[in-house]
Amino acid sequence: MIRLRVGKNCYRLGWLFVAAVAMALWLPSAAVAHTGGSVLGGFVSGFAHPIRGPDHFLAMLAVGIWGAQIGGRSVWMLPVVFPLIMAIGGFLGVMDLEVTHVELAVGLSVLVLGLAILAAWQAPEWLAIIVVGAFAVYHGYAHGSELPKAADPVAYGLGFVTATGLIHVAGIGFGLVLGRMAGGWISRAAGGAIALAGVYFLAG
Amino acid sequence: MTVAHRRWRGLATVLALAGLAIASSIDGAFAHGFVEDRSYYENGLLHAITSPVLIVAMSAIGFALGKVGREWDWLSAAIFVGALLASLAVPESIGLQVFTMAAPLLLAVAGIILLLFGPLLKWSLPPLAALMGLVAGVTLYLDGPADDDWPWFVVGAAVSSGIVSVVAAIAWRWLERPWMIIAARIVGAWLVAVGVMLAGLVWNDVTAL
Repeated sequence: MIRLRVGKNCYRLGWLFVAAVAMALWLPSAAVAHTGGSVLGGFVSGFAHPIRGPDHFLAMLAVGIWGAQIGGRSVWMLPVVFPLIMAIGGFLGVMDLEVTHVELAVGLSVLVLGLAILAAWQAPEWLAIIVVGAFAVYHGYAHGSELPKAADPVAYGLGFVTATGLIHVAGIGFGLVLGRMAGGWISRAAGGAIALAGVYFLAG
Repeated sequence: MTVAHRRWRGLATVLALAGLAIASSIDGAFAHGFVEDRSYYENGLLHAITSPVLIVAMSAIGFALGKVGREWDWLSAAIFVGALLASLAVPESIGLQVFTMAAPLLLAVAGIILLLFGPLLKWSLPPLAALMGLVAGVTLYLDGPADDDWPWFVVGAAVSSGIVSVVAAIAWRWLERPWMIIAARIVGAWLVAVGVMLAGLVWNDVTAL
């Protein structure tokens, strides 16, 4: 059983995340064009990809916040299950197999996860895993289909892992620290904002 | 813990991340470049710390050694070194097949090692260390020079790999905090995912030939 001390540790994670986001936004736009041949180019490109893609970013942030909101094992279980199931979709994407309605499912994931946070839905662990896992397949497909375009797929993948890990951890940190203030309404408000973004993605 | 201690620890973390980024910028997934005016031993030393996949794999082994109890450290470490040496006897035809899948395999196994904790890690670390040692050894052997001096290259790479692992093991024990367990699990899960996706990519390339 992991007992997180809500305090300095979580605030440090928050600062780490702010630094990561600042780094990604500061990087030149050419780095995202997947043309860099060096490992650093591939790493930067992979790192920036999930941060600069608002739909993936919000979905992964939402997974972290929702897990923290549910509490217990879900704090780490949801962010761990997400990539493991996502790998299936990623494999399909890399193999260039046909999966339809990917963008719709990604937009829907942002909406549903945002609503779950807004409603402070204390879903049973198995159900939360099913919800997260179902959407993870589509996120994986989107990421997997991007991978072959990377100049250095290994470095791209490592950059991607670093960024997504930070986003999940930031979501957990947000949920555990800020989210519990004001009777949990800060988390719920963030969930509402994420759900609105989901509506925007679906409408667009 | 004193304020000065905390500051030094923060600085060490930032330096480690910067070092990783700089080292990663030097060469390919497995560093293929040779520095002409340096010996094979020195090139071997550089090889392991300029190869992102090997850094991740060795760090994961180190973190795992830090995570498990002290009485298990020597066993997994010895198995890893033994497998690394045994891999040098692998026939080249088999080695080349392993080499094509080396990056996905090393990343996925590194991810599993980070994902596991407790008794599950204790029991699975020795076989996983053996697998990593074999695969890492094959990449070192096939990436090294083709002449008679290749053992020096392997020795150099083994030394720097060992340093990376030991630093990671010490860092885990020194820095260990509850949130690090969560972070390790998340990063481990993502490494497994990237390993699976890269395996698909390699499979695509192989079947397209």
